[in-house]
This record gives sequence, structure tokens and C-alpha cells, in this order.
Amino acid sequence: MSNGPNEYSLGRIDEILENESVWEEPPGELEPALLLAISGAERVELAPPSQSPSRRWWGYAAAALVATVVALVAFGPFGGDDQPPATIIALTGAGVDGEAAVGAADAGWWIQVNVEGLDGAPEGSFYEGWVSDGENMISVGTFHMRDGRNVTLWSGVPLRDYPELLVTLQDEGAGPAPSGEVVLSGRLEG
Amino acid sequence: MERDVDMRADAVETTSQRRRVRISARSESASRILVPQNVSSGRIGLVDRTMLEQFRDGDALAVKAVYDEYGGPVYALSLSVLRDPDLAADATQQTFLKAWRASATYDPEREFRPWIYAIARRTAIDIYRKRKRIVPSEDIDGATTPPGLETTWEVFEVRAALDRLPDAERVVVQLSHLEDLTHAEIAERLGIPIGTVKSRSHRAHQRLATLLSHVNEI
Repeated sequence: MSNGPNEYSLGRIDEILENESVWEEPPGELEPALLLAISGAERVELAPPSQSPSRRWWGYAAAALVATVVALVAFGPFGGDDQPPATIIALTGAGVDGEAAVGAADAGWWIQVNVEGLDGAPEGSFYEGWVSDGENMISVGTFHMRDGRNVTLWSGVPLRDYPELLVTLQDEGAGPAPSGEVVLSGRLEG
Repeated sequence: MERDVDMRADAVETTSQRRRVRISARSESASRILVPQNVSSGRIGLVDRTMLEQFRDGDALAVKAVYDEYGGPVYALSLSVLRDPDLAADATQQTFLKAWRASATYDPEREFRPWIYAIARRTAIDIYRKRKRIVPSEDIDGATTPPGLETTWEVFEVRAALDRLPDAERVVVQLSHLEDLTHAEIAERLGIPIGTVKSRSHRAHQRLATLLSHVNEI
């Protein structure tokens, strides 16, 4: 059998076909598990492509203004007595203790992490906060903790549905998935 | 080509049905491999431009269609890198989850296969590296270094091409390469004339060579 000019080498095909991986099927339970995970996952939303640059700029400016107002209401002098009381989550890790105060804001939920004994993330790495429902993990922000010991993270999903709070050490350039190196964890009770 | 009429008539069958047929064929004992009588390659064109636009727009059903078409190639790629079915399943799920999260950034004008392949390879390599940090490399079954870019692309594409073969041809290729059977042994196993085995094998290889003609372009 000879190959035409636009055909892939039959010899190379035979080599690849000897690889058992090529023939294996994914487990049957993977598809329903994936669809379940997707139902609780957030997508990266893009600005509508029809927006003109100037309208997009105004959109960014408005978003920044809203974020500033939310931050001032949550933490600033306008917070006042109307601010709902924060709930405290105890955080534990290897040789590290801390707590996270969490509370609702107009645009989501804020999570203020206060940790004693957590070293700054080594160069080339960073910390990332996650909330989890035990199955899915959703990022709530990144930080390096090289200056100070407080950091504020934001969650766009309800913490009552994602009650576990975890902090992982991530390698820069290693992709967006949780690294599995959990340095702190805690759980919102009740 | 004796089954081509039936094959076309059944082209609307869902891929999950097709997958079940294939699993049952593979899970049977060696002497009872089934040759589907009326199931054919129904994957070509299932994920069309409209479906990809729905995928970009976040339609969960479109994700299911994308998984049905590319779940096999992504799993094969992941397994070739990780050599562990559980890790490969994890990588496959992460790949489609990442693709879903980033789907708004996908441009349906662009080819989908290289896009999902890039996510799949990066995901599998990430898992490989993390596992290597935790487990000494000698404890990772048979894996010292992951296969290179060209090999993972070939595995991905060859699997995608296999999924486009009619099952009657696919099973002949499978028995020949995976179980190392001769044409005579395949004929005996399947209860068909040896000439039919030869013609199906020839057609399958020609079809694969044509389907994979773009692979050298990477």
C-alpha cells in the first residue's frame, strides 16, 4: 500500500495504533460527573464584542467605581452599623494558624484572611484562595503574603453553598487548576 | 461496503449509544467480540459550527456534544501522558471543565480540535508535574518523561480518526493491533471470510491515512 501525497504515513499510523492508550475509553461515569461539575462552575465572561472602545472604557470605569463603593461600604468609614456582622472561620495548616472573617457585600462575599506564621510565597509561586463545596473548587483570589499578614479575597458564589475555604501554594505558569498543596483550610459552620 | 446503507441510516444515533456498543465489544471475552451490525461512524459533523457557537455561549448541552466527540481523544492523550486511568480520567474532566470556563474566549471561526488539544495536553502535563513532585519518578508506572508534543498530537488525532471509522472496520484494526491477531485469526474470531477482513483492513488504513493527512502540518 503506498501513500498519496496528502496521506499520513501508514507506518506511523501502525506505530501509534500499537499504543494501548489510543484504544481506551474514558470511564462511563465521567460524562455525568463532568456535567454536574459544569452546573456549579463559573465561566469567564467577556464583554459583548459589539461595544465600541469608548463604551468599553466607560464600562471599566463604572465597574471600578462600583468596586470602590463596595469596598468603602464593606471596610471604610461608611460601613457603619448597617454592615452585617462578619462570621469567623478558623484556619489551620502546618505550623500556621489564622482566621478568616467573611461577610456579604452587594457584589458577592468578602473574605478577610488574617494569618500568623504563614511565610511569604517563594519567588515563582503565589497563594490562591478557594471556596469549595467538597467537589468543586472556585478561586477567590491570589496573593503572596510577602508584606503584612492580612489579605481580602472575594467570592462570587454563596459561601453557604461553598463552605470550605482553602489556601493553596501555586506555581506561576503551572496553570489555573488547584495545585493540591493546601497550606490552610477551614470551614464555615452553620 | 456491505453495511454502508445501514450505517448511513443509523448515523443519527447518539454517540453515547455508540460508545456503549464499543465498550460492550471491548469488554466481551476475547472469543466473543461483537461486531455491531447496524452502527456506524456517527461522529463526523456532530459538532458543527452551530454547536460550537452554542458551546461558546455556554450551552451545557453543547458541552455534552463536545465531550461525546472529543472525550475519547482527550482521554487517550491524557492516558498516554499519565499512564494511570484514574489520573487520566481526572485530567479529562479538568480539561472539559477548563474548556467550559474559557468557552467564552473560543472563536468558532477557528478550528476546535487544536484548541481543546492544547488545553488537554497542558492539563495532563500539569498533573504529571505535580505528581512527580510528590511521588518519586520510579514509582510512576512506566513513566519517566511524558511523550513529546508531536506524539501527544498524533495520539489525539489518531484516536479522533479511529472514532470516525465504521465499527466493522474499526474492530478489524483493533484486533490486528491491540491483540496482534493475523487476518486469518480475525476472520475466525469474527466469523467472516478472510477476504472481507483484508478488504476492511485495507479500507480502514486508507481512511485513516486520509483522515490524518493534516497531522504532519503541526
